[in-house]
Amino acid sequence: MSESERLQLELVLPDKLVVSRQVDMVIIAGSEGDFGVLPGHAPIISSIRPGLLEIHDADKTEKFFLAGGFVEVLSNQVSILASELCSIEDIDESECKDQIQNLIEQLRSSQDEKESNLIQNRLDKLEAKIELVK
Amino acid sequence: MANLKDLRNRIDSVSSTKKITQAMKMVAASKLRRAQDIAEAARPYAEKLSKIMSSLTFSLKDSDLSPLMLKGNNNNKTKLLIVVTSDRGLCGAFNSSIVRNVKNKISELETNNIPVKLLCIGRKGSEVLKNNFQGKIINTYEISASGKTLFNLAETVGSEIIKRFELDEFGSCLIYYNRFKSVISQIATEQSIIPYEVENLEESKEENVFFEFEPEEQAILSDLLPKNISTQLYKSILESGAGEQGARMAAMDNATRNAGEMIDRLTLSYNRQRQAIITRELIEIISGAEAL
Repeated sequence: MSESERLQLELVLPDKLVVSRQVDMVIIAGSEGDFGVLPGHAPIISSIRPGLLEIHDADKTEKFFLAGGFVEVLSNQVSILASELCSIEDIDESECKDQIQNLIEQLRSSQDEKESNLIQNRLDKLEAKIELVK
Repeated sequence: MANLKDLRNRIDSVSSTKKITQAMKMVAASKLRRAQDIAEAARPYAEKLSKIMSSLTFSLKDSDLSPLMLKGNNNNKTKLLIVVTSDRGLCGAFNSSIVRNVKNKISELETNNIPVKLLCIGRKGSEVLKNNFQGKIINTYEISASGKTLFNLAETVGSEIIKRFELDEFGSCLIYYNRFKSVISQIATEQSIIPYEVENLEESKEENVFFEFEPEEQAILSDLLPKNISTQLYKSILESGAGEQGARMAAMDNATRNAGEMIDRLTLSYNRQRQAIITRELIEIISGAEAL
């Protein structure tokens, strides 16, 4: 495959640049459904729901958990702005379960609607995360 | 004789001051490198975000649907000024130039009968502004507040701003911070956050691109705008942090040099006086011997 037919992927966190290189394909958990991006994809801006990000490069596949963010695809340039991210191998299932337990208890005791929304939000993220390692 | 002793004491005290300023300069230099690295690392995210923002605003440009947070609330005239300074002093004109700009802006707005509110990030700014504008300061955050990363701080401030905006406490919002241009030059900058100023650099180039949006523009924007506000805050805090160290380094370098000059001057007059005393004693002895 020639260089021009590959994707330039840039994966950034608020405080650092994580990945910046050429890849073959990325699969993103968009908020309206998963979608894959191959070279020549139409320009799109989408938000990302908590879920899996797959980076396919030749015979290698890297998997990340994204807690949310945005993606912009423009002329074979994929820019992913992640709010939080961790590699699939780094997910600790038992730790996630503990945190989920904690949050559920917090959710029960919380009175404020805004606060419980916030907790629910974090809970959703964790559940999506734990889903990936099952 | 007492005069000679005074001089010696002065020389001692000035040289210990010199030692301190020199040490502070070194500390600032090493902190500067770190602050610069952090600011550099945060740049890609801010750049990408503003690119997405400009694509979005471009596609919403002609519609009435763009959210208030993007274009500002014209029904509420109150302006919120966010003042980013440092927590510590001894960094030259770093804080005072920001404060001066803010004061000018406040008096300009007040002559036009526009109410002003202030939110301070960094202790020094609020300490000075408190004297004149006590009632206008709605909150103060300290940058080195315990156990918080700078990004958390930016998010906390960001969510407070959004909350107050939704409560209709102000209609537009400006931020004042020192932009880090180089180690010796920090530029006091004014930037509008609400409504958000899009940098128009790339707009003409991307005019022909029509993005697909998923979900539709408004939904993305309502997610993206709060993010953008905290990212802008984060950027200004980092720039100001790097600038602070740069300014302190320059100020301490100056102070060290001045102390050195002062020591030279004092040593010179010390030696002159010592010589004068010796000469006088010699004359006394010689004339005493002649009298015999």
